[in-house]
Amino acid sequence: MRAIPLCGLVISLAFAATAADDVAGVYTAFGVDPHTRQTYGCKVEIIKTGDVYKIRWYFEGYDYGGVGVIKNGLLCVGYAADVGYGVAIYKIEPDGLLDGVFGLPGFKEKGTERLHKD
Amino acid sequence: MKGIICLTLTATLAAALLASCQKPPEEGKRAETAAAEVAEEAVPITEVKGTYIGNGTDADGNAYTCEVEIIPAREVYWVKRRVDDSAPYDGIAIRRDDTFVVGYWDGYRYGVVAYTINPDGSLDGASAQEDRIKTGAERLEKK
Repeated sequence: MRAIPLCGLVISLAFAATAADDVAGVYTAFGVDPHTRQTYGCKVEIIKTGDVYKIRWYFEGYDYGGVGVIKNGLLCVGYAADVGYGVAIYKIEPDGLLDGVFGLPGFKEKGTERLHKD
Repeated sequence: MKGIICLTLTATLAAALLASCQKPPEEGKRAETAAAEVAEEAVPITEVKGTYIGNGTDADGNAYTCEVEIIPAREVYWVKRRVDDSAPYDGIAIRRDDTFVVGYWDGYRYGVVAYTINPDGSLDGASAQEDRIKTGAERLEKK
């Protein structure tokens, strides 16, 4: 009988590991800019390289990159954009959705961004 | 006979009053849950504002010391980092529960440090930079 909860724990740990690994992929993103408060859309590609994640946002006519690590079940990202560097935190949802908030230098409000896997 | 009726009525009334004072099991459970939630909310959130000193190991295995200043700015934080004797550079940070994440540009490359906020106020971080494929580690303690 004691094997059942242990088995559940093993399955949970395995699921957690899989969820983190599955962050790599191509996403369609929708967000709200903290400065203009306007919505936007873009494509996002996440590639695992060694121990880190390389992230690239593709907008119409330009793109920019970031680097991330997974900490406490969150994808934590530093990036560089046309307005400077920034920071983002995405909660990794069980269905693969990445629910994020981000900050840009010069702005005291956070933006939001949700990434849906293609 | 009148005495017996009076005694019976008194006992019934007392029982009814006693029953009205006792909460049904479900209601009692709800009250316990609500109390637990209040107690949980009452746990103070560890403040991250302040100046920290720390040390770390970068992605190449090189050890360094650092000083980090964290300044709250409404929904985000301004961060000033100085690593070893290099010139200080700026970062921006946001917090999600007990995870505090700094994005920065050190003049050459961008990077990220993701910290766990410990109950004693120290910060344990994992770092990554755009031109590296390994992570580093960093620990900060309040000055």
